[in-house]
Amino acid sequence: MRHPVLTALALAAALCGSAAVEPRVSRATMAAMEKSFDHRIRSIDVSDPFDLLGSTRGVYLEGYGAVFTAEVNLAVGPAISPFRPALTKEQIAKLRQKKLARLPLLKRQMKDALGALAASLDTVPPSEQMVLGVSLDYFSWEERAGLPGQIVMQARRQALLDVTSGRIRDAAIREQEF
Amino acid sequence: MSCSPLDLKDYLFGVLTEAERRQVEEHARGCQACGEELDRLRLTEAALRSLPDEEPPRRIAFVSDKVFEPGWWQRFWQSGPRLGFASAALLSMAILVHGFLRPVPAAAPMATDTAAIEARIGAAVVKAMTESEARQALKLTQLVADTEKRLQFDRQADRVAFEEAFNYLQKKFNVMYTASADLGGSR
Repeated sequence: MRHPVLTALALAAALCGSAAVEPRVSRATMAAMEKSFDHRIRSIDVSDPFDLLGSTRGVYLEGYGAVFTAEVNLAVGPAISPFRPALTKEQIAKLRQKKLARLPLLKRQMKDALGALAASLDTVPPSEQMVLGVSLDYFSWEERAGLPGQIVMQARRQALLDVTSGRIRDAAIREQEF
Repeated sequence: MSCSPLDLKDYLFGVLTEAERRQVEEHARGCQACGEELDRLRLTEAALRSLPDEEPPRRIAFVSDKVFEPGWWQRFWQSGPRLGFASAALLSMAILVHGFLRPVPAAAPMATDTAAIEARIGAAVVKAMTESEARQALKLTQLVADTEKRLQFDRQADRVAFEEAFNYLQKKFNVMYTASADLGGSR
């Protein structure tokens, strides 16, 4: 009789170990955050919107925090085609100037989005990180001086909540350009 | 016509002595014709003296002046026989000078080997043509290689541009597809 008891105990232990842990942040919440950032990017300039080339994707890393990424073209310019095999220097310089002028708008939106993430993802512990990375897309013929390839902003959730409430300034957000 | 013992014009121009002048004056007082002649002469003299003195123009010259005499060269040039003689003398001198200064002609080759010359010329022509063709072929090869290289570069650039544009469109399409899927509620 000892064997069936031991077997039952072992089976119960195995069942308990393989059961999925309840996620801290649900997928639906993450998807809502993704759509929210997509919408935010498209709404920066309605008349001349930023070109969203990669929808926002978010993952929650247990013990670290939530990470969101997207891919954006800062400005839609003239493209090379069989009807226009090359662009003039003036056109290339003009596109660069336009992108440089729109870069601060994107950064501002990213900071606001981080605040919104921190406020919405209330199941994430305050000590964990909120990270938002945007990859910027360029053509090979573009002049990229002064333009980053990727912008990553991150901060502790608590710091972001403090920034949003106005208790501290947004200097708590760590900003990196690659 | 004057009957005066002395010429009235001499009296008038003052070439007579004092005694002769008195003699003419006494005669003119007694002779009406001479007195009138003397008055006319005086009148003429007065009229001449009333005219202003004028210098004769300097450019006026006479044919007899030495200025118009022909020079030796003009006399020579206008003289046909002299000119002919001088020409003949010059021609003779030129012939003589040419005869003395003419280079001695080289002795003509006694016999000309026409076939050898033609062979040499032919060989030179063939050599020049071969060299020219070789140069042209080299240039052509280089040109073709350069053109091919340029075309290859252009093709590569086109391919990269096409790939970039295609990737860009594909990304946009993916975003649109995702968005439409979201609208359809498939996620």
